[in-house]
Order: sequence, then structure tokens, then C-alpha cells
Amino acid sequence: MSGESLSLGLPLARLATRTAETIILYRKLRKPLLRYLVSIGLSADESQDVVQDVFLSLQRHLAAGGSEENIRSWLYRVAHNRARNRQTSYDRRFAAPLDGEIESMLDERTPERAILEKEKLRRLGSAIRLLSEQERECLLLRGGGLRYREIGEVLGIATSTVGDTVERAIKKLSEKCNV
Amino acid sequence: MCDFSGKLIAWMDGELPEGEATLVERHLDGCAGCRSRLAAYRQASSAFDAYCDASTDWMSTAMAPQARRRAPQWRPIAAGVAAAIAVVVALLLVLPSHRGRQEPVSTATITAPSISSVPTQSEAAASATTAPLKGEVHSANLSATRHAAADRARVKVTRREHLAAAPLVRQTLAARGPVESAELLPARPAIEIAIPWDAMFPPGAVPEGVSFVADVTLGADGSAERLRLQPRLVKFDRRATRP
Repeated sequence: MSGESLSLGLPLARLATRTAETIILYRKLRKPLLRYLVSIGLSADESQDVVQDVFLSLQRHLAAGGSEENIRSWLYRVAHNRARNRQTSYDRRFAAPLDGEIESMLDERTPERAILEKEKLRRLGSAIRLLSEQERECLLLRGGGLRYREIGEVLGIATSTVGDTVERAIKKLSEKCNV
Repeated sequence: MCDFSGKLIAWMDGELPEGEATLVERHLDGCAGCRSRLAAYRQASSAFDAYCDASTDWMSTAMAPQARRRAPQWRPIAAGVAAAIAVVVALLLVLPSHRGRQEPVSTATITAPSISSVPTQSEAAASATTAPLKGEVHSANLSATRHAAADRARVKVTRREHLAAAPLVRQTLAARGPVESAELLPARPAIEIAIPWDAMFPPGAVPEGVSFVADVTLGADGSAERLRLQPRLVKFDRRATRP
């Protein structure tokens, strides 16, 4: 019986370790994932739902013996695909003027944002809207701390393409905003 | 524009090979134009990130009333709860092996890793199979019974402020007498699990006094097939303070 206990205990311990790691990842990456999802067009509510789905998928992925390598990239990729499936909301994020957001950025509740002047913010918002979808996504994922290689995995493009896209996007913003 | 201007952003992002990065750094020392361009790129990058952060904050604020109507405040943490439940489910599977022992086996424990120190799998395995029980039951309990085709588990996680200083996850498995059916559930929980609320719940997500009861159904392969979470208002759990 003790042998049976041992044989059962080892995989259970691995599962317990993975579960604890999932919880740690949830605490660490929930906000960056929400930021990414909101920024590519999902509502706050939709983003919350997607993040839940993504972490439940991660739990199933690990329980099924899925690869534990580069989980952060995996999470972003699944989140990206789930967001894609909600295509109706996908394009609306940067399609309209963001006056409310600009006011929010200048609000007293966010003093760190107030260092950016209103007119510059408007120009920045306009410049962001002029970026291609791929350029915006590359910058968003880059802002989430992903390496070019990981961004390429999420978006399904070559690492060199990511580098070119990031460079093009940053130069566009820099030139059009004069920030 | 000099030849290095095309590498400034990749260098800024730490994406250049070491040799190329060194060349760019040397070039920057002597090229005011590239230093100026680099500063502009950094500013544009920071502005974009700040803009998106503000957008997220604004969206969260603007959507908050609607989100509260559509989903309970605790909903965002369902994934964390499910993850914890998976641990409990895993613990359930070890029960039969303990039941079969001749000598009384009172307890076994698995201590999950803290954020700052994640043990290796072998360490966790050693803990699971050999460590004596020293765990203190705080706020959650679980009763379980086995069915022919599926296992069902019940977990209760209660918000308790004083658990903030506790280990990230502390799970206690107390093997008791054999459990044959739902009608023969032990009077006391077969498994007790304590999970600090702040290990899973974002600040303010769980109102004071609210706990969760989760019913989970296990498939033959041990994976969770169905999960149902229900919030409950609870009184102060006195078991949390027992020695």
C-alpha cells in the first residue's frame, strides 16, 4: 500500500506545484493581460472573461501534461486568439476619439499622467489610431515585457518581422507626435 | 542619418546580439544625432505605454458599474479558485491509498511554494509523501465522497484578513475513516484546505464575510470536468482559531 501511496503521491505533488505556480502567474500576469486585451478592443468586462478563460485553459493544459516552457508567451497567445474570436469588438478600440481617456489621463486621480499635455495626448491618440493593427499589437506585447521572439509566437509572425514592425511603429509615433 | 540609426530601437529593447550591441554603444558615445533619436524613441515608447495604461484604467472605471451588474465582484478570481480546487481534487485521489493502510495514518501535508521560493518538483514530492502534518486549519474545509464514475469535492474559501501573512497556499490532508457513499460522509471534513484569500483574490474583490462553495466533478483522468462556484455569506469561522 505504501508503494501505491508513493506512486500516487509523486504526480499529485507535481500537480500541486503546478497549481501553485498557476496562482502565482495569475497574480503576476492578470493585469498585463487585461491591459493588452482592453487595448486591442475588448471591453473591461470581456477582458475579465477572457483572462478567466485563459487561466482555466492553462490549468487544463498543465494537467494534461502540456509544455511548461514559456508559459507567459502561451498565455498571451491564447488570450490573443480568444480576443480574435470576439471579432465584433476587436476593431473598435482605436476607431473613435478617446476624449474620455484623455480627460482621465489628466484627471487628478492619475497625477502621473498629467505630465503629458492635453494637445500632445491628442496627437498621440491620433498617431496610435494611424498605426496598423500589427504595429499596435507588437507595441502592446512589447509593453507587456515580451521579447521579439515571444511576440512573434503570439502573433504568428517571424521574429525579424517583429523587429521591423516595432521599429516602424516607434518611428511613426516619434515623428507624428513629436513627443 | 547614419548607418546605426536602424539598430537603435532593437538595441534599446535588448534584442541585438552582444557584438552588435557593443558597436551601437560605442557609436552612441560619439554620435549626438543618434543619441537624440534614441531619446525620442524612448519617449515615444513610454508615451505609448502610458497611454495604454491610462486607457485600461479609464475603461475599467467607465465599465465598472456595468461589470458589477453583469458579474459578481468575485468572478475575476474564478480561475484562481479553480486552480486551488484542482489541488484539492488531486489530494482526493490519494485518499484510497491511505485508507488501505493498517496503521492509522493521521495526516499528510503538501506545502505549496511561496512566491519567492518555488520548490522543485522533487522537493514538493518529498513534502507530499514524507512530511508530517503541522498545518493549522484556517478557513476552508472540504468534504468528499467517491462515486462510481466521478469524484465530487466541496471547497469553502473564506476571506480572512489575518491570513495575509500565512504561506501562499497551505493544504492539509487528513485521512480519516473509509467513505463509502454520500450518505456516509464523515461528520468532520475528510480533507481540510486553507488558502489565504489574498493569494487568489485581487484587493477588494471579495466582500467581507463572503465565502465560496465550489462543486467540482472529476473525470476518469482526474481532470475537472465541471465546476460550479456559489458565493455564500458566512459567520465567523471559529475553527480558524482553534489550536
